[in-house]
Amino acid sequence: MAEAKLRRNLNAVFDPGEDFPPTTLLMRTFAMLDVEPKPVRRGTRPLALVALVGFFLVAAFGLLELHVWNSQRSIPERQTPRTSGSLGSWAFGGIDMVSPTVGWNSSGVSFTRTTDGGSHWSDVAPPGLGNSFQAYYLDATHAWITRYLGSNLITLRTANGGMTWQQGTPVFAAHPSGGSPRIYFVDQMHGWLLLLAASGSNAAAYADVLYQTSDAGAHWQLAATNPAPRDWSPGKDTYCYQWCSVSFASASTGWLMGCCWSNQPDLRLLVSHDGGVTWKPQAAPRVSAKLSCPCSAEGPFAFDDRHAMVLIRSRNPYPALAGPSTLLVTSDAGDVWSIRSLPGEAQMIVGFYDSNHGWAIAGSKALFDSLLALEKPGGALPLYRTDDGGITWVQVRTNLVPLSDYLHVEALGFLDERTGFAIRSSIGPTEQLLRTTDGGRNWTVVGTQP
Amino acid sequence: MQDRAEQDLIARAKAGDRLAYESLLASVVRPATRLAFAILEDRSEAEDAFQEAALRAWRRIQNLRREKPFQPWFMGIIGNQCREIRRGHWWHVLRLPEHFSRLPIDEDEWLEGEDLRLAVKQLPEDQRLAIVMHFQLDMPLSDVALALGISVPGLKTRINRALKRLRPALAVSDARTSHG
Repeated sequence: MAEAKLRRNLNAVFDPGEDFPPTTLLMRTFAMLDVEPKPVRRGTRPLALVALVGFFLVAAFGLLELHVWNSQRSIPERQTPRTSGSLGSWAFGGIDMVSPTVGWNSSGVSFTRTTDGGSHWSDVAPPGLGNSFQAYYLDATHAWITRYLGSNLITLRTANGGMTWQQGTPVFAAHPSGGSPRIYFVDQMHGWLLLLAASGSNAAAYADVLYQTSDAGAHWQLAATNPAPRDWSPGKDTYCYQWCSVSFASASTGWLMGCCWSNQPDLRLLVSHDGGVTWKPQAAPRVSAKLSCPCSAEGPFAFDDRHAMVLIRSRNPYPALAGPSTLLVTSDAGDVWSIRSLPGEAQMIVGFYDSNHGWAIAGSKALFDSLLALEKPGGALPLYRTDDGGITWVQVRTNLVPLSDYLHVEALGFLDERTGFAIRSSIGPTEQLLRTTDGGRNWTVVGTQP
Repeated sequence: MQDRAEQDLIARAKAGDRLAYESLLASVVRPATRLAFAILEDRSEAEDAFQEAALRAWRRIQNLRREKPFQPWFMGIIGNQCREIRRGHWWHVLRLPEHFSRLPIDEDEWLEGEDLRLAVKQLPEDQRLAIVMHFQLDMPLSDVALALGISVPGLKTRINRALKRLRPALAVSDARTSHG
């Protein structure tokens, strides 16, 4: 009886209201999960394709032949567009190295930048940013942030590495039920915003809306609404974006990709050749039934105005349980997509920095099973490299070995044939940033985020 | 949710089935967000905490032990998330004196309104989570213990300590005087 009174008192004091939680919260959460950062956004850049198949072991250390990197060697800063990421919970989760020294790090609650290769990070968040935002980085100095403010989506942009920020015209999103927006810039001026805008609480009333800017985000114009033909829209899941990504190879040619599948992969691509105003379906090959679904697609990752890739992989982040991934490549802006095989029975992560050069950690499920043993981590991870766009793969001897404190590799990306970064984590929230300067053979810890 | 049905969803979620995981999330969204609101006292931050916890739980779903229920495990994650957010605020947890009343107290007498809000806010974090989970959200002691990672007897001790601080201040003040 006494407890009942306390319960009543507590409910009266800590009452968020009957309308709490809002009906849209789950939808927004599901949309966030859709673009959950582990698979999609970890791009150490200009890594053009980063597919992270989640949690897996890595550890560096061990003595292998030491290739001294010539620090005088010039590595051009990359400006390769990529798909936008989503919020992450870990500080290193949104890291994106755009050169050997400069990188951005968005965790969803903090926004930092490094100019010394990841050893030190400075807060570059605009004042009053809050802790629920998305960031997109184009190069060492240009970045954009989106966040909801009431019924509007606000975009902020910087052209000087985060020293100053300018706000663009707000984009009306009906209400912030659209989850994480997709943002993509193909260069410093031309960008797109893909939103799931709602006109009411009925999910059926939601529409995919694409906005476009040609002045770096100062102004946004509506480009298209529900761009797919009525009988062709992908995805039957109410809570899923119909179009999970937007990417452009140039200011005129770009894709929307549908990747909301429950079981069998059903890749849907729309292509635009007029900057996103009109769209038409683009034929894509049926991927192999041996894929272990539920699956998701990542990309298209456009390397230039003709070459792009799409990765289709199991949603299961554990290689020992996941099936093989499949790579789709095009060299004619998507008129023809071809399937490329990846090495091994299962892949933990795949990363390309251009249309030819990529890396994959791949092997048999049994191998991953033994490598992922928490109590007794196994030997070196199987790292492969391709120089011909995934036609042939050769194994790279590496010192990436499992450590019980840092079992999972979260991201893998290369700036060129030698310099790359990886993020590894423990089961807990601790993460480490690793760097290689010899093509993946030797990895050293750059920094640790508690 | 039936235990068996829930275990089936958990197994499917562990195998990578997002829809199964979303069903699990839907079953806990109300208690989880209300717990977050009670701790953070901000609707927007409570929603953020839920979303962040949902991401973390998805990434760590393999850590959910076999045959264990989903809700207590998730409540533990969101409790941790709230702690992190509060730490980010540099909020101060003011501890009341460890002397508690041994005088007879009217068992039906509890703080109300703003006094209760302040008293709960001043509870140590673990006691606050225990009180909100058990009394406000009506979670059984066994589930609260699972969520907080402690034994049921340990939880009872924690709750009893907290309850003594939620009595009218006069009683605590009297007790301090009488035992000081």
